[in-house]
Amino acid sequence: MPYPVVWQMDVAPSHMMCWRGPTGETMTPDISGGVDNFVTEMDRAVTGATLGTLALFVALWLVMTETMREGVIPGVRTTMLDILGPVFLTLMVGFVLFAAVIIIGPWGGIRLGGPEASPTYSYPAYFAMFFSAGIAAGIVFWAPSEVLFHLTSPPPFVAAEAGTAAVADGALRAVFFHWGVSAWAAYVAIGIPIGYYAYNRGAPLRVSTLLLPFVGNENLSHPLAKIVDVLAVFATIGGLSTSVGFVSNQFLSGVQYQWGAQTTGLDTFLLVAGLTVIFTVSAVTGVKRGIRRIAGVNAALFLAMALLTLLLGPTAYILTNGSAALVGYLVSFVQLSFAGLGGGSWFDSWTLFYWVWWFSWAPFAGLFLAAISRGRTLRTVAATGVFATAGATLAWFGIVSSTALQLQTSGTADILAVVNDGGYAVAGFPLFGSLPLGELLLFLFMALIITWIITSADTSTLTVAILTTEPSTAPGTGSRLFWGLLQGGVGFGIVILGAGQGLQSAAVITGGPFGLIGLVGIVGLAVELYRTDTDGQSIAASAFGGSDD
Amino acid sequence: MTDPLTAIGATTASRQVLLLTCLLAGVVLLLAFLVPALGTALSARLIVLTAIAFIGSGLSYLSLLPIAAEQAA
Repeated sequence: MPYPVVWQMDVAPSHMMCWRGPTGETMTPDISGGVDNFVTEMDRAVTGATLGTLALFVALWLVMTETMREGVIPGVRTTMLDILGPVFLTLMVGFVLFAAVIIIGPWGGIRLGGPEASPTYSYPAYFAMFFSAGIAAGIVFWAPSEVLFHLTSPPPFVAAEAGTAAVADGALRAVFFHWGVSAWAAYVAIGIPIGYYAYNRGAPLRVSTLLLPFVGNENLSHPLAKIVDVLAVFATIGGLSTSVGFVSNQFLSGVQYQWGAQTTGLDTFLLVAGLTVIFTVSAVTGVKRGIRRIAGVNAALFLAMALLTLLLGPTAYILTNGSAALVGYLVSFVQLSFAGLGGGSWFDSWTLFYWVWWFSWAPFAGLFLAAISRGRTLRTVAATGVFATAGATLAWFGIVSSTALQLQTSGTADILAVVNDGGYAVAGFPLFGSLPLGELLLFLFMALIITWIITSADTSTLTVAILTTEPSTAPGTGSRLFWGLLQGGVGFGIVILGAGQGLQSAAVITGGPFGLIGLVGIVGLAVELYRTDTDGQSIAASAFGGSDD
Repeated sequence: MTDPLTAIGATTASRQVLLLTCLLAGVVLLLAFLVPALGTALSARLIVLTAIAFIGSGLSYLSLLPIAAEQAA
């Protein structure tokens, strides 16, 4: 069996691509581009099974009646969550503990790529890329709206009357819990083992690499490994396409709200087509050009929007309510993490759904985290993946969600009335529109909606292209174009067919197993790290000799 | 002395067109927000196309910019 090369993703177009062999030597592939090349380099098992699964899903969707659609897939999802709910809740706690062990413990000093490896990207670029890829447009969709759900229907751990200011702290605490450390820890649990096996063990950069300690490097083409990659691709396409559908609805709802303009299916098509062209161009140009630069623009816009909202919004309220909720979140983190084990519809419909949703994003976000982490220590990867990104997320939710709460509870703006008319997708528009310089904020908000989805979609396109290409080969332009267009097509299809909920449920169903695969990953890595390091020495001795970035 | 377009990497006609598109579409979109009468006069389709043109051309410009130009800057 040929020794697999590790693709570094450091240059974009296939004809310029640079790979690195197991010993770090630069290898120049002979790739001339085009459709022939796409077919030649394709991993036929993974590609065929993925396309077959998607086709089967579409066929079933078209054949099923409305009653069946509303019953079967959500039913499977509900059954899975009922049976495996406690397992998923416990797993998420395990992932947080894993990240903590890596950050605090001696293994954190291990450097991906060996002691001499240096990071490929600057730290700001590294952070911006991972942060932008990992959370998608949900952060702009849910920040103004989720907290209002909890305001009107308080979580069980909040003892206050619905709709009153007394609920605000608890409502924001629930949002922090769902979008905080736990979500990002799931990505780290997938990303760190993949990165370690790829850069320190010469394994291929793909999700099935998590099985390496159990099946060996030479058996990673086993059908079981292929199934893992197919699940990863399906969960990624399902999750991303659903997000594209949500974002399109949010954007068009904004156009309707702001200018009273009526939208049609053709407008949806034009919007999704435009988004698809942008993220495909970014994916084709690669990490160093498109993906890194657009992530930088997104992070800058995000920071500007957060600061402007903090300054122009109810600053004192944001700081006091946000701080109280943050302290409450940290203090009650363990209690909240286990509270769902006792059951209860609130935890089932909120926490469990979020946890499995993060699991479904974990193969894509984790693989991308691994791909850009060469040269960084495990400690830096874990700390970035958990604390830095969670910190930025919580700051955003603290600012925007607190603003929504203050405007609603003080009567300054009736966001809920607008939401009742136009749905939760529109919540951000009355929020930002009621602040000073509201028109400027709305302009930035609409730009941010698009840049967030672009930064996730270009990365997911690249990730899917990696997973559907032969392990020893880097995906070329044809592969990136194909998967980019397919994801855009699926996104448009679910909007037109109204299949968003169905595909989201399907993505959750396929994503759920990644909680268990993540467990396999961290247990396997622990065994591997105890067993030996790259030089055959005790890993503990090597780790203490490592250095941080 | 280097001209401004060269300094930001807009050295080819296609990149200059992308930059110009981004600028013009951005101004139209911003005016649609700042002058409600203008925004109301535009159809949803035109707003969607303008927004896509604004962001798409800007981000495509960034994506297509060679790394050498960035390093030189």
